[in-house]
Amino acid sequence: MQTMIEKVVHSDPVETAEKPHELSLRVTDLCKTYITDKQSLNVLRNVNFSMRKGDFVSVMGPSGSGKSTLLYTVSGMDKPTSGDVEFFGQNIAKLGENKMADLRLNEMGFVFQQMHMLRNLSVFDNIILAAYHASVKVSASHRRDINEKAKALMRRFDIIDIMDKDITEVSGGQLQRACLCRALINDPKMIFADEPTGSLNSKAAAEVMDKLNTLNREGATILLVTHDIKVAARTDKTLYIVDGNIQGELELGKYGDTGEAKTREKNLSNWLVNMGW
Amino acid sequence: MHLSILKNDLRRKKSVNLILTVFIILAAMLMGGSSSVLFSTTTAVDHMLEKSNVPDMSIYTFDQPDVVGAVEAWADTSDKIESYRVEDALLMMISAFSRDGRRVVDDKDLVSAFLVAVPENDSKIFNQENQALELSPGEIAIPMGFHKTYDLEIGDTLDIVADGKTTSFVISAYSKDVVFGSDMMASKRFVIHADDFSRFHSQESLDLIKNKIWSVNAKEGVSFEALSNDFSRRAVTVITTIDIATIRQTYLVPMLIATVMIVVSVSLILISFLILRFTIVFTIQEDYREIGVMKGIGIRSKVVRRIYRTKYLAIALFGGLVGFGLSFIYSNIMMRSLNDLFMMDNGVGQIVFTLIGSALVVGLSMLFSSMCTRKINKVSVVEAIRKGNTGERFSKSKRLSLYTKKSLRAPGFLALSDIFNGFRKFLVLTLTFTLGTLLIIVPLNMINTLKDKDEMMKIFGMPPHDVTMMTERAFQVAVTSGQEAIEEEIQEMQNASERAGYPVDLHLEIGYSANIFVDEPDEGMRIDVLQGIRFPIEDYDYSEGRAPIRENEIAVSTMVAETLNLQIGDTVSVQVGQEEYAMLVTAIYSSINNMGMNIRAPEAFVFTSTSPSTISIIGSFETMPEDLEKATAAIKAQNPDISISFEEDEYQRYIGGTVEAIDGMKNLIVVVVLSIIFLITCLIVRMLISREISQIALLKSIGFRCSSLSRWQIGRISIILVLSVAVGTALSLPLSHLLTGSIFGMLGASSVTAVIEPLQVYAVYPLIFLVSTITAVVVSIGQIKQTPVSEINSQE
Repeated sequence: MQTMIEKVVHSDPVETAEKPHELSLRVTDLCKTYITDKQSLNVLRNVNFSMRKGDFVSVMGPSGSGKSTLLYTVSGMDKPTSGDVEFFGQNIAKLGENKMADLRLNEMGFVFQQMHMLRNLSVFDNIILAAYHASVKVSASHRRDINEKAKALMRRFDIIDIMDKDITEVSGGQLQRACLCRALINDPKMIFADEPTGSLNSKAAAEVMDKLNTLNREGATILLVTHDIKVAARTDKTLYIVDGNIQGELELGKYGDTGEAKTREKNLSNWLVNMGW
Repeated sequence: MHLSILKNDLRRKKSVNLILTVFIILAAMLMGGSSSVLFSTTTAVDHMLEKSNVPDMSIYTFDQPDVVGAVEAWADTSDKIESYRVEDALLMMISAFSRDGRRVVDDKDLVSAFLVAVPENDSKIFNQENQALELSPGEIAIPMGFHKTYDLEIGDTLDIVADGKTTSFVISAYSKDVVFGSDMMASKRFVIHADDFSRFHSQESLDLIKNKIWSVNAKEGVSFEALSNDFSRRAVTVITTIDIATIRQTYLVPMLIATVMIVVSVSLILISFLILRFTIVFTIQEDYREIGVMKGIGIRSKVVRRIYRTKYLAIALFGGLVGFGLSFIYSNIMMRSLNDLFMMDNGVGQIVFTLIGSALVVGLSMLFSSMCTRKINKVSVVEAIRKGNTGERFSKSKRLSLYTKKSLRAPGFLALSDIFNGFRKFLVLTLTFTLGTLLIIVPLNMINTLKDKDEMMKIFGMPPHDVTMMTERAFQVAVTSGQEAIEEEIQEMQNASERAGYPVDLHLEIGYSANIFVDEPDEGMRIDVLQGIRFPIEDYDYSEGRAPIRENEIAVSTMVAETLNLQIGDTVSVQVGQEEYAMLVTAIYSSINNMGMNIRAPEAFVFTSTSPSTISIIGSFETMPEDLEKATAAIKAQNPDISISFEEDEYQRYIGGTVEAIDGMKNLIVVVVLSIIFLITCLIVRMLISREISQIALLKSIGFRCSSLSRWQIGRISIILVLSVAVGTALSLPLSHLLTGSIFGMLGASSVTAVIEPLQVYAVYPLIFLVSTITAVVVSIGQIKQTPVSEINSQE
């Protein structure tokens, strides 16, 4: 069954210098089929949804429903079998490998469930690597600017004291915040997060979500996959996906203070139960 | 159940299992093939001597009643002889061969040849297929060198012009003749059918001189040196005597080539050992997660180990078997250049050595897999699932900082960082590249040393000279009329040269066969006494001491000094013919002539009771002619009997035919080593990438293009490669000197230094190596493009 999502209306427009209602992502008839051992598996089936700049959207669904595949396909990390994905007006489903890599480097930020980092590099080097790679010129002053920017991000995420540490020397929460810093180093237009709190304890998860909410308030557009109600409750809207199909969405509005959290979680939980979770 | 686990494993981990199988095949091929090469080359000369049934001593005499009687008397009465046989032969000048009415050989090759019927008992001759020679009437077999030098092919007609009469033969085989086969043996044997031979032999001829060949075998316990000494005391006039030591000496250059091949084979065995261990360890680490899961569900460690050992046994047996088959092709390729020179043992011995080499690979594979799976007993379930990591943190590693390397681009930095932080991962590759460089450059230096005319002339014991001259008369009077008659001939040659406008200062180099001993003559050794006439003895090369000047002084070669434990100032007895002389050692020098068994006597010393065994007339021009052909023509215009050969010609005569084989072998080694390194690099790079899939996916996810990732991969292997080639090249220098010194040292030359061609050693070959190996990396990194970003989650 094909489900169209109602047009999202922002009750609390984002205060940014750019146009508040600009579309950041439009997904149209997106399908993804895997073929393994003579069998084809339709993981995504005619998915349609859109996001505006400044939106913070979560995707929920049971295991194997296609959440992560949706995230990877709409972020250009995987090619769709059919359908279109417009990222800030550009159809990335048709983009070549190199252009897609450039887009990921300069306009997208990624955070994964596992805190994937290069083992041989320090926390700080992992953060600045993408920025160094994005630089057209190799100049000391430019690199100094990158270093300062990375330090500022680390200060902001309270991890400046681990900058020279090895990635095996820091906690999971610190490492995930470092992954966030890395995702932000090139000022991406949108952040994609695949269960960013999945490997963290509740305190560390809350810290990471605080940072994502702050970023969103400052104008960042975020698409996040989770199966944690507490995490989804802190997003503006939740999409519910089953068998590669979006079954419904719940508009939660902008997350404000901690007192509001319980109510949002309860509403979301009730909705999910109604959706058959 | 175990079987289905194995079947699934083999199906699911196709690429890693395939790489392991290919490596085992490669290792089995290298080890089996190299063992076979090792066996065949080390036994080559002895195998040829045995197969050809070469007697302890062959004596070539004229068919004259007094000479035949004297030899017969010695052979019948000597207590050192077990048995002897005598056969007929004909001595002719090689210039008697003609093709289409024209002489086949250049007139400067004043060389004699023996015409014989197919030998059936002693000193047998074989064809290129290593089968005993069989000829029909009207057919002739020619030596391989003769075929190559004069472009004579099987099926060509070759005429023998004797006493103005031409007899035509059809060339039907290229012969392998252990006695006369070496380039260093100037005379050659040409073989015809027994009927044709009888016809020639029954006629009286001036051009085909009747000879006898005496094949003499010593009694058990009597050395051939003792036999040779016993005969030399009889002072019989002979054309030549050839004993086994002499034959071995003539294969000196091919033996050097064989030694290079042995060095290459040993190194390749070492490389295959390295890659085998690396691959097994790598593959078992890949299986760790499955091992953890099996332990987790309660399968006992012993059973888990058995499952994996069965898997590796199956792969090792399959790889070993295929490698065993391929090793025959490999060893045949490696020995192709030696096959022209030697008759290799391709029999049971070779198969056994190949089998042992291949079986060793299977055994080593099982040993390595057993050692690696032993850890299964100790490792906890969680550790195994984490692929051997204990999960222990706070183990800070040494690392490079990107932010301190301000001038490096990200891919370059990643390449450096990988090497700096995880050099162990590249250790096998580093060792392989270093060994590969050594394998190319060390043989290259040794081969360049062999190809260096000056160095070779020096170690053959020849003093520096420009030209060698000879006339047929000088050749004859040397044997029959003594030194004074030769000197007249020398004077005539000098006069002719001066009249032609090329004044030359000639002198005579004579060699006498002698016995040298300290106490008892029977404990002595057969040596050559070298004597330069009309040449200042101070001008020869001595490594220590002073030139022997007085008649009771000699210089001894390093080999003689070492064997008899002689030092400068010692006295030694030299027995030439019937006479015995007490001589004082005044100097030691380096020489490989007669396997280093020679001494040098001053001109003041006069041998009274024997004829020289070798003579040559050599000298230097006042001014070296620029146009050698023009000079030759001018001198021959003054005296047509003079044959002239320059340093180049002599080099060709001693080593010439071998040079082609040397070059062929050098090219073969380069091609084989480059191919093997190419394959190893491809496989190791693929293995490294398969382990880094998640890191590649991570870098892709943050926006690295495939081209940047390729630069990272190529960059790090290039750094390793450049470092290894630099280390290999640097090591090759002392190693070449060491190996060249010790190999020539074994042959009697103590002061040989490797000849280094800087352009080849420091530029051309390292560059070829770099280009070939980087090409291997480029063709192996295709996996990067195929890696989807979703593989990021395969990171453990």
